[in-house]
Amino acid sequence: ENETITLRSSDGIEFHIDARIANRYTLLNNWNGENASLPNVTGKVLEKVLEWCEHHINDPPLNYDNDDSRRRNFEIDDWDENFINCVNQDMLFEIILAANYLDIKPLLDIGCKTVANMIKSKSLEEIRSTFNIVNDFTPEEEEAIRRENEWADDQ
Amino acid sequence: NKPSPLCTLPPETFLQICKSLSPADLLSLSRTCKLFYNDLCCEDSLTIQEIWRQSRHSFMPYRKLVPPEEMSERHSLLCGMLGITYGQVHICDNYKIDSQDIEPIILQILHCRWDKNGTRIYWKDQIVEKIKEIESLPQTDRLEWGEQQYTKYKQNERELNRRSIEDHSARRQQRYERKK
Repeated sequence: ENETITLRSSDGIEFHIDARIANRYTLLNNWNGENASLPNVTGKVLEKVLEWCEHHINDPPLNYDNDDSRRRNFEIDDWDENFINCVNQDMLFEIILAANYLDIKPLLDIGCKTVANMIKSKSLEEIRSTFNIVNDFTPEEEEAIRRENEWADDQ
Repeated sequence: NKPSPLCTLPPETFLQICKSLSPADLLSLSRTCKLFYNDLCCEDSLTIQEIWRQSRHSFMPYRKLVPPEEMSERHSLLCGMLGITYGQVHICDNYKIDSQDIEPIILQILHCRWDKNGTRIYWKDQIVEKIKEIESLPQTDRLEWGEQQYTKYKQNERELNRRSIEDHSARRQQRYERKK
């Protein structure tokens, strides 16, 4: 029987997790204890994050220090792809924020990569509608930027 | 109407997303709203320059040359993507200007492009900047200043030409390999 620790989300939901998870991601350890609760992560989000952590509990430890280029070019494996594709966009961003906050780098990488894939090869308008971005340029500014990009657009 | 979650990410997370994007994707993203435009077109930020540089590395590996002196990665890409040799690009509110109001030398030391009617088009910011520069000089120094600027301009143009040749031949190579 493995040792477990207890995490409590910002809305007071308790999760009993394998202590090995908290050992992998040291920031989780900070929130182990009777009265500690994670201030920025709700139960719904924490559940997804912990689901991911549990699946990856036996992954080899990663050395992140000097490997920026590999981080950028890595491929998302099937399980992770399925995991991240099953959440809606709001949850995707919540997971990214939580992974950032809890310093779970591989999950943060997957989230960022997924968002990047949602941007890739899309037109300006498609990007705006995908992410619900409001066009706040004045018509004059927009025209100036269009001209600036004229050459790139012709391609 | 809540703000887009993409716009409320911590800056370092937004930048991490940008690191997986191609130059063309970065250009599109930068045009979606003011926030991203100001982030991604910030010429003074080393982090931003590094993102464009890495994007060029990953997605245009044939492009080995760094941007010419005094030109940002983004500007050089905007020119280079089409293989056009006309130089820097700036936003301006007054696109066409009357050339009679300007010292002729200024028009010879700045990059321009020709529109369909044969009008030379310059970027106002650049012209204003050069006017300021020349007006701060005493008359006697202006000729020498003009010559120096002209040499620099020619050199820059040569550099941009080399890049466009590089891009063109890489594209030709790609087409050739696709046919095979």
